[in-house]
Amino acid sequence: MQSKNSLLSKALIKKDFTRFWPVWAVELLGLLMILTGIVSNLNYTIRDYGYVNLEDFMMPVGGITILFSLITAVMVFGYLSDKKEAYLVHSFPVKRQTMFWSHYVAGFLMVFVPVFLCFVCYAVCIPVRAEDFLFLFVVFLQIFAGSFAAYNLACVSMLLTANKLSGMVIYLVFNGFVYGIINAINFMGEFMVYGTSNDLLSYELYSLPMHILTMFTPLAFFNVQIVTVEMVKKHTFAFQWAWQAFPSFFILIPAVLFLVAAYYLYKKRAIETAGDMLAFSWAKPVYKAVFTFFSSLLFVLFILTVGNYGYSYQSAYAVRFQIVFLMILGATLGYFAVTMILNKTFFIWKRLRWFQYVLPAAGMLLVLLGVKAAGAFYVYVPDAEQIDFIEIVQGYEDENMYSGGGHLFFQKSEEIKTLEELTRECIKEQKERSSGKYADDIYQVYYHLKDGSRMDRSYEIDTKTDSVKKIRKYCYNAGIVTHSFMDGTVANTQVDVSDGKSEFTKTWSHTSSYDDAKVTMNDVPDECGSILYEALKQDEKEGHIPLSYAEKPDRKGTLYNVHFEISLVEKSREKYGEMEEETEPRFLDFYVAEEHVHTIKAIETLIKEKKLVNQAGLS
Amino acid sequence: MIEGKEICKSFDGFPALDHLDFHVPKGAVYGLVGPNGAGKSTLLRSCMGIFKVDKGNIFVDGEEVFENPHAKGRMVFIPDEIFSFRTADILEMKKYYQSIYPKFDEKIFEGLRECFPELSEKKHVRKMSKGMQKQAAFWLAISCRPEVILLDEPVDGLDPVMRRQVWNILLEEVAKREMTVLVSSHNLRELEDVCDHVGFLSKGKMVLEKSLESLQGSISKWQMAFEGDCPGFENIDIMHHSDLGRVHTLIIRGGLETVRKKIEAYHPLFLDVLPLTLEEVFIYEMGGEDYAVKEFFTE
Repeated sequence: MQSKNSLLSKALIKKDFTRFWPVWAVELLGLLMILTGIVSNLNYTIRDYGYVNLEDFMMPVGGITILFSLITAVMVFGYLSDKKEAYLVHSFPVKRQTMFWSHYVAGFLMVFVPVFLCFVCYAVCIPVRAEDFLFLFVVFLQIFAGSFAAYNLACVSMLLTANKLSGMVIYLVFNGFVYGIINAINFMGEFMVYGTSNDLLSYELYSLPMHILTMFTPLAFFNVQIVTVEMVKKHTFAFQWAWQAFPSFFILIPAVLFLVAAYYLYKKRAIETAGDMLAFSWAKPVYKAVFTFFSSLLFVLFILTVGNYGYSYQSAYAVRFQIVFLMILGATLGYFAVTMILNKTFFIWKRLRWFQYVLPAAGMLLVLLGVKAAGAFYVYVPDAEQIDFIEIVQGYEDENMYSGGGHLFFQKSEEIKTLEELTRECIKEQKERSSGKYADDIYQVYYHLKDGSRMDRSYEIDTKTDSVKKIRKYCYNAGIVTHSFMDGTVANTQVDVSDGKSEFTKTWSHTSSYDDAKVTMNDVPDECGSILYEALKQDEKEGHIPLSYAEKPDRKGTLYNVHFEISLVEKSREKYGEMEEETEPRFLDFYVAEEHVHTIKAIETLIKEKKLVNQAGLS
Repeated sequence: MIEGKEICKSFDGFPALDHLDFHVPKGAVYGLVGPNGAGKSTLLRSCMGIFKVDKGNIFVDGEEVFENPHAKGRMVFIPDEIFSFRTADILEMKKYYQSIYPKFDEKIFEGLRECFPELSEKKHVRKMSKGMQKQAAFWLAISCRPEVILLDEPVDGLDPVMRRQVWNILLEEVAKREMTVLVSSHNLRELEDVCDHVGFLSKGKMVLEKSLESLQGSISKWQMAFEGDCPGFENIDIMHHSDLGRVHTLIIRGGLETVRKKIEAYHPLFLDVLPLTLEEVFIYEMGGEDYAVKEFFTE
């Protein structure tokens, strides 16, 4: 017998280790089989690539340890799901803390001894240099950290329940929780408002919670965080693992938290719950709510997919009433299902009281209304007061004339306010669009907020609608150049004049669309830019719209393409320190036709004065 | 030896033990009797420290049992359904018990071998019959040399010879080492033979707790006949009354001589005391707790 304060019982550890020998034996066998496969290919890999990529080794080993973490936790704490065994074991003169740590340590050894042996074999089998052991060791530590978290989470799952199957389900659900949350947020956002951003969850208010959730789910950890460390024969990769490997050890924080939680769950659990789906009564409403909510979402996705509703993220709003109905129905079905599971019977209607029949539907409706009212999911157009300036990108899917479309900038408060209202109007109109119709344009808006952050929004739009025409007209009339190019917001302006022949300028990638175009110019002095700009403004005043944003240009009538490269971003980066690099120079393109007499005259004058050079050799 | 004070234990709001008090003296064989669902098994598991009681305390020799390895090391529990590890034989289980229980006695284990001749030490316990599993459990339990043994339906599944054998072993331990036995059973006939104390449980409460001697002295069964109609029997605590013609049979609470005097005051034609079994005591006591045997009529 152990002493009063002993944390471990040798007898219990030994019993677990011998009783469940098939578990660690199969794990070891699996790992050795993987090892054999990798080592057998090793010579070819080294010959062909000159190095051994440990990722080939790490991923299957990580996968196996995650799987066996669960199996082992189910085995060592599985006795708590069997009344007979639980009563016998808890009649023994052993304290609960001793029992917990003994079973825990037995399971821990069962999971990690095979992994350790596998690493030793690997180190012995492959021809590694002394310094490469460091990398191998780092990989081992990473797998250890991830598996440690996985094993502890599996223990928590098992100890939260008093049923093996239920424990396994909770473990898998928890591991998939991150992805479930991401899908749920995207789905809700897409269904509630028209228009999404692909990177919705990578920044803004969801980024921190998502990172934390990712850390708390071993599956996500192995999927995202695990690093590729290459054992290179010729050169060292010390810097690589230094910054890649160590952040991944942050998973040890949730791992330790899981362990503490598992310990307290074990200490506090009532043994008489053995066999129940959940060991704690407080967990039942949580389990019911989560199960109901996710089953509702799954039900909707399933029906929309199977029912061929033409469902897509962008068009979810158009079938919002169907979605609401299906969500409520799904919630009701999910609630009945979880009640059946918890009560272990199919015949639950006799147990339910009248209000429980409407509870899930009412609950789901309240959730939807609450989320919508709070706007927590998706602020698709921020308030004008929050905006510093707006950047709009429009592209045409049937043309290659822009790479990523032209960018328009608005920073005056009345512009922002007007544009915001127009955007809302446009979105409202587009939201009603039936799901079967697909838009032909992408309307991208970057809201640069006063707090320095940026919100990206992207809307598929039908260019024929009035609201879109209004925006385009406004963009033109607001005189983008006036406010961005000339007033000093934009610096280092460069102007190209291009005929778009097979000759490429350094900033223009368009090829030979304009048969009637006359000249190609490059490296235009700043003064030419100003002259051209003034000429464009003159044309604009006389009612000729040279901007491509007014409407799609008539290619055949185009004589010149005036291309402004604006280095707004460099300027902005000074102001907004975190501006991303890929948003570098913006391009403004103007299509000049015969009616733009002032611009044509200015160009011809500049050519005559040889300030603009015809690179194609044309006159 | 074992003392419970104001014990409460409920499951999902259902009170299995409801402010229950009891006391088992050292060296006693205490029988727990009660209808199904009275709380007997719950009480035994609480005494063994498997369940944590919601309220009250359970002491063994003055020590709290729950989470107390020292107290639990002196106790052994044999449940109604025996558990053994999947592929474990008796020897393997013995090794396990040996490493868990501080007083496990190899000599006693060897000595008991001949008491259970049908048991094969190398056969998986799970593959044994229910009765044999019970025998194996007794073998291991007695080998732990417990000061207290808790038995839940202990001889259920054992043949008559083995029942006698098991009780002999237990009573010998009681006699030799003053081992305390707390046993729950529905076999009242058997309990009557071995118990010296009885506790009647009903709906989680201890209805009656007495030594068997005083219990049988305080309730008696009388048979009598009167010349005319049966009198009203005022001042007599009648638990049950039945008649066959003019012959009346009464179960009466109270001392033997006191009751005799009271009945004789009605001048019966004849009066006789009949032996009262524990089963009858149980039935009539429980009848008062609304647990009487109901008659069932079919058309």
